[in-house]
Amino acid sequence: MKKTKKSFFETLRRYHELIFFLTYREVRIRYKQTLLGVAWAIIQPLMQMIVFTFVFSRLGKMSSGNVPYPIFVLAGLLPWTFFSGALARGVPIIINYPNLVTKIYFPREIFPIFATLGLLVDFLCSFIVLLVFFYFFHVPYQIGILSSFLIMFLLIIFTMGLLFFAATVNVFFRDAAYAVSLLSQVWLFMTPVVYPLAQVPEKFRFWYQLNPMVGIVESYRGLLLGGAISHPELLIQSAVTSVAVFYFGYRFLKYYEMKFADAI
Amino acid sequence: MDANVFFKNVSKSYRVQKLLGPSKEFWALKDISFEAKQGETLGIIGANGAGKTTLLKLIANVTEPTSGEIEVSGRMIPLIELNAGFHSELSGRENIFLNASILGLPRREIKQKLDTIISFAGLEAFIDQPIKKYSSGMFARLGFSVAVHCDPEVLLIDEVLAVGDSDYQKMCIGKIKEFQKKGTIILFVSHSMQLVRELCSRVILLKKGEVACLGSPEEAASLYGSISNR
Repeated sequence: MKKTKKSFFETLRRYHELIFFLTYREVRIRYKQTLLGVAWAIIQPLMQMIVFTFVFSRLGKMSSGNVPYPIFVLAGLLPWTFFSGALARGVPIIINYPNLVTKIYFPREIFPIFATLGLLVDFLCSFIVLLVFFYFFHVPYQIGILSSFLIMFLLIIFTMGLLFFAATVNVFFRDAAYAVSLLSQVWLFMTPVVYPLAQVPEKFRFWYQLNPMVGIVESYRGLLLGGAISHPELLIQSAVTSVAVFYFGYRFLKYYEMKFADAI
Repeated sequence: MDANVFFKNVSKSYRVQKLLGPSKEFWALKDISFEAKQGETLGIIGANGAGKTTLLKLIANVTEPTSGEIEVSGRMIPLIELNAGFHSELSGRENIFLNASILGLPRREIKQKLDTIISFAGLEAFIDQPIKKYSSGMFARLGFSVAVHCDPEVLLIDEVLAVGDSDYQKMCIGKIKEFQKKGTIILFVSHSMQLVRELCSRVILLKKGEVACLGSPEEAASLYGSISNR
């Protein structure tokens, strides 16, 4: 068969309209027939903010520096909620569209792509809420708020890369969805979301920092709240890992994509 | 370039995992060769499990042959399951955009053809309703209308005429004949020998993954009748 293998960027260019419509569909159907609609995108991180504030700040006396703890934890929860939401939606995304997989061909990397982008809409909604909270908690608005989007871009790369891999595995072994949902519960506490990186003892740091989400969440919150990145070396490490995960995840998906229709 | 569908010695096997013991190979298609040229309507008939769906999957490029060569050129539109990509909570209009973009139509063209698609389906009054409120006939008309307005050069049809009433069938057959005049290659899977006789120029009869007959509709249909009676 004529195998016109396209590069990732050619796919984006050629299929950007399809990606747009599938993303639109994702967002539309998620909140269709709900009373609160897209407000649910905001409620989840807000609830977590309240619970974590109560548990860690009130009961556990966790220090968050000179930033109020609720803001501190919400700033970490934003990228985290995006990440874990995209994993939950994205790992089973291919098997959720059996008709598309078995009836018509378009590049299969489009599935994880639109699953991730669909969660980005939720993220932007809760981002606006965070900015409103800044006002009430008297947190200054800094230029770092804009540069934080660069960190989000990195997080999108990492998330998609991971999904290329996990969504492919899930076509053949449905265990992937269970494993990833378990993993993401543990992963939250292995990432400086509810506590600052400074609280992690030095002797664990080496292993702890192998997790690329450490650099991403820490830098994201640093830019948003203080306007600076405290550990640029961690961010670089996360960037390298993310690009590598993306590259190999993509290769992995492309290697197996023609077997999807037989396995589904 | 002319549209073309070309199969040379194509075989497709699946691995069937047994609970105990080694996995077994199952040949869904064995040594299939045929060619369909511009303007031709090729019928594909055979009992359930004879390999018709696998054949369409190979043409649609969603799976690869185990061996052999396949070439498909021209804009290929599958009219296999009308609801592929449809979502019942979305409106008819939204579903047109979604489905047409899945079939590869640019947004600009969808916008241009939107009114034609809607009126051909006869859904002007319902187009902004969520399609879960549609009857199955309306649903089928919408899917058919989107697919045929994507200007197929190779059209795959799998049993879609079985749904819907006789008006719907007439509409579909009329459109298919229009495509035949335009030179579209049509691959037509059906259990209805009457439709196969009416529409197809040649017919492939599949039996257990092999071509039992490749010839005129009469020849294939009568052989099919004698096989299935046995």
